[in-house]
Amino acid sequence: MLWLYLHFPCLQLDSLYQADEQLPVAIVHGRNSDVLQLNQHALNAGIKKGMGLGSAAALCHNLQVIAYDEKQEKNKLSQIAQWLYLVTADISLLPPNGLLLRVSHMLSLYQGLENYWQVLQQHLDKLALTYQFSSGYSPYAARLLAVSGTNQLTDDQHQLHRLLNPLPLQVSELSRKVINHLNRVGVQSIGELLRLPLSDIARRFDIELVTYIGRLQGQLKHPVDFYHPPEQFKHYLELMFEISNLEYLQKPLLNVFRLLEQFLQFRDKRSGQLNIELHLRDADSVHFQVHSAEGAYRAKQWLELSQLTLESIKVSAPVVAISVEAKQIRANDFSMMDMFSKHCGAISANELVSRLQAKLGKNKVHGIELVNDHRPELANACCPPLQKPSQKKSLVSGHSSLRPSFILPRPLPVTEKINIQHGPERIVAGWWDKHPVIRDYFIARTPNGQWLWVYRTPAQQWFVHGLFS
Amino acid sequence: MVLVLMNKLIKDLQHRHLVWHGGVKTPEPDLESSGYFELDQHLNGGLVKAGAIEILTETGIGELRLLLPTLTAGSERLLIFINPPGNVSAVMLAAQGIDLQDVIVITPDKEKDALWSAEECLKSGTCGSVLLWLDQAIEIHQVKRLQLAAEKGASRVFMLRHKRYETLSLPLDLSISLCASPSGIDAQINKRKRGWPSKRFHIDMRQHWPTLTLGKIPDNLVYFPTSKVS
Repeated sequence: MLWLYLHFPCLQLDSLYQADEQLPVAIVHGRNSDVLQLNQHALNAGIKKGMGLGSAAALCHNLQVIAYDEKQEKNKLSQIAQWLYLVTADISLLPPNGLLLRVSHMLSLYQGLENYWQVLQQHLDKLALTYQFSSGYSPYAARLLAVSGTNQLTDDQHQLHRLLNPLPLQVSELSRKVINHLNRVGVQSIGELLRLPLSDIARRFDIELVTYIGRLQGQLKHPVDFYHPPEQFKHYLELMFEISNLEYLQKPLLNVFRLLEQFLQFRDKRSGQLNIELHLRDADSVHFQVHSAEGAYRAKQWLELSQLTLESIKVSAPVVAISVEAKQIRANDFSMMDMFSKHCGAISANELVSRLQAKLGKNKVHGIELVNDHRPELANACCPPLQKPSQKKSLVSGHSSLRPSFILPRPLPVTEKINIQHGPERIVAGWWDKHPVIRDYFIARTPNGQWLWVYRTPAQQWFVHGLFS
Repeated sequence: MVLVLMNKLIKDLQHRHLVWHGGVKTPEPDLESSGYFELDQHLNGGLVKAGAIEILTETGIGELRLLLPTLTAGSERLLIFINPPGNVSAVMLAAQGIDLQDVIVITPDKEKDALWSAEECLKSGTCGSVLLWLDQAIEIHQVKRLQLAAEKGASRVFMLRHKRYETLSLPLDLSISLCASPSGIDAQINKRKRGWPSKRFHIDMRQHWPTLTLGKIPDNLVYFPTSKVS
């Protein structure tokens, strides 16, 4: 069985958002402060892997130092697995920075190793990561070759053996104690280890080494857990710099939205809501939601909508990271557009509503609907915009009497002289719920010519309730 | 030499749209009947289909009734109410034959947001008419923006404002002021593109709205649209 191992030597460095790529960056292990990962500028300055932080800082005065975070690498790794899952089936995560792919089962689909690798490589390159790779006839062999930077993909068993043999034992997964033990008896490389008869090794060493050799040669079964992708999009992006002006968030947000776009596009889905979290320095993070009534998948659309919401958001501290989560992922149903109608708008009604709601707030934009009630303040209700009316159409004909065009949200006492023109129309309702109404409604005209809808209560109080505009 | 200079000057002025060409006729914009005979007559046929229209009026004298035939005539495009003076009555709109699904009410907190949403609605191309109630003076550049948006989306904005905010030199397509009158409404065209302002004239609403006018129409009176025959 042929395996492919992908090793990501500087995963955390690659997952950083680097706005200004001119600066040397080093990722340093938290405890013993060794340099683990570094970018090209840091390399040019003479810094090497494994160097202490002190000497690294001495070599380069403007070195940006970031603490190593294994959890972040693991997250990134599962993101990569999710991405690769689109082109290859069997993926196993080997945290913190390795992926193992089972190649043999994919070869009949891609018709050959070269085609497979070409597709995979093109797909992987979109993430812009540094990686080392190698194939092997066992997971251990593939890993050994990849970590040592072989970068060879072949199914030639002899060649793989030739590549494997000279590798030193130090790169293997064997414990330091076993390696020292082997070194002392004169075994320095993998090749020398494999040349020894297995029965002799079993006599002198423990069972671990025997299993290792058996798995390395593919003679023993190597159980592997394969990855199953979650059907959700959740992305965490750490910013290279703290951002206090929210306008500058556009670029990093666009990066995330591009990934979202690809995620949705491949599944032919669109999302109706994004939960965005701005992680602040030394303060509680800010959450906000961006809605799209129609559902959107394009990065540009999401950026536009989130920008409108961002305008009204204030942060108390600089933003250090953002995370984006897509919700309400649903199938892509394209709205029909009339090609021949003259005014082909750039956006649809749903899109307009989501744009308005993003800027003004969800409760500021609404539709109206009829409710089967005689009380005027209840007969007209707000509803979500563009909602299809539910079988209430028949109710319209029931209202034969004239109704004002605007109902005042709160009835106002009548303060001026009015002439009653029509009426009364008595409305007695609501004794069954907690809002009883006994009113005589009149249509009245003020001397200025305004047409009002007024009512009289049983206590002979007069109120204006509507305007006939 | 002088000629060259003159040519250059004229070209420069033309470039800045400061020269009016007598010979070039701009095409007549699409007009749509307002549903009221007197108004159509004074407007040479009706209201423009796309543009910014200002209506200076008190609230509740029949200004919406004047616009209703125009609003209901719209196709299946949206009808937007921005900052209405009360809760828009679904009963009344439904009784007028407006599909409630196409009605959107926007109540922004700030006047600036009201103008912004009007512009967005207009240029989206999905709205037939936008009714915008404004409670402040409006500036030239704001009107210009609305107008461009209206042209882009082929939609119409009616800006309903109080008379006290009247300003003369706004680049509107049409500006009408309305006054209450017992049997309808008195209108006066203040400004009109491709036309002259008019004197105050009366719009009879007794036929359309018998309940909301004073004075009954006599039974034996027959209206004939062309008034002057001789």
